[in-house]
Amino acid sequence: MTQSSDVLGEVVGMLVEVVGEDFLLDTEIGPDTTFNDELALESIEFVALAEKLQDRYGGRVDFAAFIAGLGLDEIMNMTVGDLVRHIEARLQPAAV
Amino acid sequence: MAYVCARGVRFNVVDLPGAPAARRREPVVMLHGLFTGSAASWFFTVAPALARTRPVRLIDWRGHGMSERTPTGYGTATMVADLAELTADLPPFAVVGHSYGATVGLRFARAHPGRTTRLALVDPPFIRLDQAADDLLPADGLSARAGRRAAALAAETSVLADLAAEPPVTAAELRALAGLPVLAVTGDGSPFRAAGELVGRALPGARRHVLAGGHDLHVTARARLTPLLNSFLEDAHA
Repeated sequence: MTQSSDVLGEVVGMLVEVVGEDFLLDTEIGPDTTFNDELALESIEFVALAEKLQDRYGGRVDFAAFIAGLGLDEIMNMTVGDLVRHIEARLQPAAV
Repeated sequence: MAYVCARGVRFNVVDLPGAPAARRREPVVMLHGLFTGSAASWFFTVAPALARTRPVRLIDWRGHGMSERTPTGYGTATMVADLAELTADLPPFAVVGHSYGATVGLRFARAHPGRTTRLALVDPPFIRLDQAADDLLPADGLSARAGRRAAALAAETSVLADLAAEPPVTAAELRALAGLPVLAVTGDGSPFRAAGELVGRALPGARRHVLAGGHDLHVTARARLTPLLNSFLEDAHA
């Protein structure tokens, strides 16, 4: 459980850096926040977020490959929680 | 993300390093189109698949994405010079360009023949380049912020005048590429679809494909465009 809240907190922190605090004044980011509708994240800002994820988690979280496997509708409807769950799954130690 | 200052302008450059085995292979530089394009045009479509087997570099042209919006400098001569600076650290590389990015890629290949190993043109607006802005400016369906950004580029910079003043791509210009492997992919519903025939007449050895779709093939025909680009690039290693 600790790991879950850590990842969410880190992703929220990255989003604040990418989008800017001024823009987020009225928005409380949580797992159900949608990138497209609520954050109005532009696609190039998504790229910036992906690069921050890469810097933080290295090759374990390949956001570009994750996105490549999704359809446009899925990308448009993605929530912060969807991304956090993907990261958590990739951070799980491999089963022995 | 890496901001790079080149020629006095701040550019955003995105590298997809790919898997470790892919990193020593020939890179591909992917160039987006004007107005609504950015590094994201490729990042969320074709680039991840290509990055499995080679390093991929994406750039935001000046005035686009997270690169600086300069008041002038949207003609191909300036953008070719920008591209040369932004790729100076790479070994010779393949170029994939969509729309105006294809035009700049073509002129880069001519200006820097030793730097370009192959050239893929995705719905190049070679026909009626001087009127291309009408077809390239965004219509509906954009988020409010992206639409405002494109409108500001058109209103506050020389981009429309630069496009209108741009000499069209000629058959002679294409023929000068002879020897360079060229792929041209056009959309059957694109306003620029005749460009594929121009490429075919000028370069009979060029690989040509027509896909169902309009101008933004990387979005609407991603599943068909990706393997075409991949096999074109893989031939370089055959």
